[in-house]
Amino acid sequence: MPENLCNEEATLLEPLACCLNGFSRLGEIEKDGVIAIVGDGPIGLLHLQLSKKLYNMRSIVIGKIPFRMQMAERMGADAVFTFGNGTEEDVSDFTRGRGADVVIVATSNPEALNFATKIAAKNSKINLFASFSNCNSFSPDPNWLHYNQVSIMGSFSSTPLTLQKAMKLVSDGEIDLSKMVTNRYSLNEIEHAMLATEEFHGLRVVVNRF
Amino acid sequence: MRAAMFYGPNKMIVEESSFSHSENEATIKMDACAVCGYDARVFRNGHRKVKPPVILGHEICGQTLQAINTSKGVLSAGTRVVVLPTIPCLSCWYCNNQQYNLCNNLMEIGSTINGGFAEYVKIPQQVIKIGGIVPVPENLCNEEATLLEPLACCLNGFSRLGEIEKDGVIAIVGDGPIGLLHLQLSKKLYNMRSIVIGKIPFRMQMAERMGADAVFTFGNGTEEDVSDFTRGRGADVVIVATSNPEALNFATKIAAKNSKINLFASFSNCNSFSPDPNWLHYNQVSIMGSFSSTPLTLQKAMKLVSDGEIDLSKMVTNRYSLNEIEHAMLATEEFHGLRVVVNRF
Ligand SMILES: [Zn+2]
Ligand SMILES: [Zn+2]
Repeated sequence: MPENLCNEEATLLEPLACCLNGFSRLGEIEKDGVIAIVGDGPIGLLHLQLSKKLYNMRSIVIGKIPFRMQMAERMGADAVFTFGNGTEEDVSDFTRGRGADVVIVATSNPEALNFATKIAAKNSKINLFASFSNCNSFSPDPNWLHYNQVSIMGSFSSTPLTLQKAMKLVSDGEIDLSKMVTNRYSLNEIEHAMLATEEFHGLRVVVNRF
Repeated sequence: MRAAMFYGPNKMIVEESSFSHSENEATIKMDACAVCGYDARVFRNGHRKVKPPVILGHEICGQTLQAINTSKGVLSAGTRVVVLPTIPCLSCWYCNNQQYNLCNNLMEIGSTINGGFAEYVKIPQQVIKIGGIVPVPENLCNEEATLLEPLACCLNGFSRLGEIEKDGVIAIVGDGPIGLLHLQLSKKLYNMRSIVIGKIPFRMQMAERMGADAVFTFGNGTEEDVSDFTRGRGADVVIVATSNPEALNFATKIAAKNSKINLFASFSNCNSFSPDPNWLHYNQVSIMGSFSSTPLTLQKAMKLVSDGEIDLSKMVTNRYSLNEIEHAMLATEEFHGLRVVVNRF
C-alpha cells in the first residue's frame, strides 16, 4: 500500500476490485456508449468513477437517497434519476429512445432486475453485480434476448489481478476514494456501524478503532 | 414469374406472380433456396413480422441478372451470389454503427418482403450498399451455398460470446443444421471439446461423423451425461439451437461457472424461463442472445467455406422443386435429413 492512501480509503480497494471484475465480464464495450448504474451506494459510485475514467461512457446513476444522488452528480454523473415510476422514460429521453448499452444492477432491491431489462438497449449487457434476497419474479423474455442480442450476466467478488489493478488505479490518482468514506466507528460501536449501513447513512461506513 | 405465395397459416400456393424490375434493386435469378426452420414455422403458424401475401425464403443462392456496382467492384451479369437477407434503413443509430441486424426499421427478405421461393428475387439497394451480395466460388454448388447465410448467423453468435475458455467444452443443444454448423465452427475455430445434444438418430449420427466429442439424447439423464463428460463442471459455452422451450431451463442446468449461454433460436412458448439472478451472480454466468448476421459475418462464412475450413457438402440432404414446396416444408418440420433445399423453379 502506498503512503498517499489512508487506512479508511484503502478499505475501498476490495469493492473497487469487485467492480473491475464486473467490468471485465462485459466484453467489448460500445465506444461512447451509455451506462446506467442502478444503485447510488458506494458500489454504484465506484462503477460511476470507473465508467467515466476507464471507458469515457455517458453515465446515468439511478438512486433513491438524496445525499448519495448529490454525490453521484459531484463525481461526474451525466444524469442522476430517482428510481420510481417515471425512470424508464427518463432513461429513454436521455438516450433518445435507445436505452443504455450497459446496465449495472448495483442494488439488492429485486425491483431493479426487471427495471434493468426495461432500460437496456439492443446489443446491451446487463450485469447483476449484486445478490438478491427475494427475486422469484425475474423472467426475462428469451425472444427479447434473442432478437435484441441482449446479455444478462453476473459477476462475483474479485481476483488478485483486479485487486492489484484497483491499487494501481487509486495510487495513480485515476480513481478517487477520498470522498467514499463518510462514517467512522470504533469496534465497540459495531452495531451502530451496521445500522448506519443498512439505513444508507452517508456512503461507506468504516470501523477504524479496535 | 413462378412463386410460392404464402397467404397465411397452411396456405402456400405456387402461382404466376407479376414481377417488375426497378432501378433501385438488383434482380437475382434463383438457383437454390434452403428451407429454414423459421420458414416452416411461419408456414404453419404465421409470425408477427410476416404480413401475407408474401414469398418466404431467405437462404438464397442465385445469379445476378444485370451487372451490379458494389463497394468492392462490379459484379457482372450472371455472377453466382449469396445474399444477406436483412435490409437496413441506413439512418438509425444501429445502422450508423454497422450493427445492421439490429436496425430499428429492419426489413427482411423472405419475411417482410418477397424472398427466394420464386424464380426471381429483388435485392434492395441498401443490401448492396452494405456489402450484402457476396459472389460464390466455383467449388461450391448452389445447394451448399444456401448454407452460407445460416453459417454467417452462427458466426455472429460466436462473436457475441466474448473471450472463449481455451480448451473449454461447448454443449450444442439441437442436432439440426444450425447445431451442426455450430459444431463445425467450434471444432475448427476454437478447438473446443464439443457435445451435441439431440433427438433425431440420423442427425446425431451426422454429429458424430462431423467430429462431435460426445452426442447425447435429450431426455431425463442428459444433465448427468454432460456432468459426467465434464467431470462435474458443466459446459463453458451452451448454444441453444432449437426452438424447443424446454432447452432454456436445461441450458442453465448444464452451464459451468463463468459460462456463456447463447439463445441462438427464438421460441414460440417460453413463459417458464426464470433464471435465478443469484445463480447468475455467484457463478458469473451470462445468458445472451444473437440474431441474424451481418455483411462481415457473411463474408467471413464465405472465406471459411471456400478455404475448405468448413464443409457444407453433407448439410443438404433433401432437394425439391418449387411445385413441391409443401413437401419441403413438411420435411423440414418433421426433421427429415438435414437441410432441405428447393433447387428447381
Ligand atoms: Zn434461416
Ligand atoms: Zn437502421
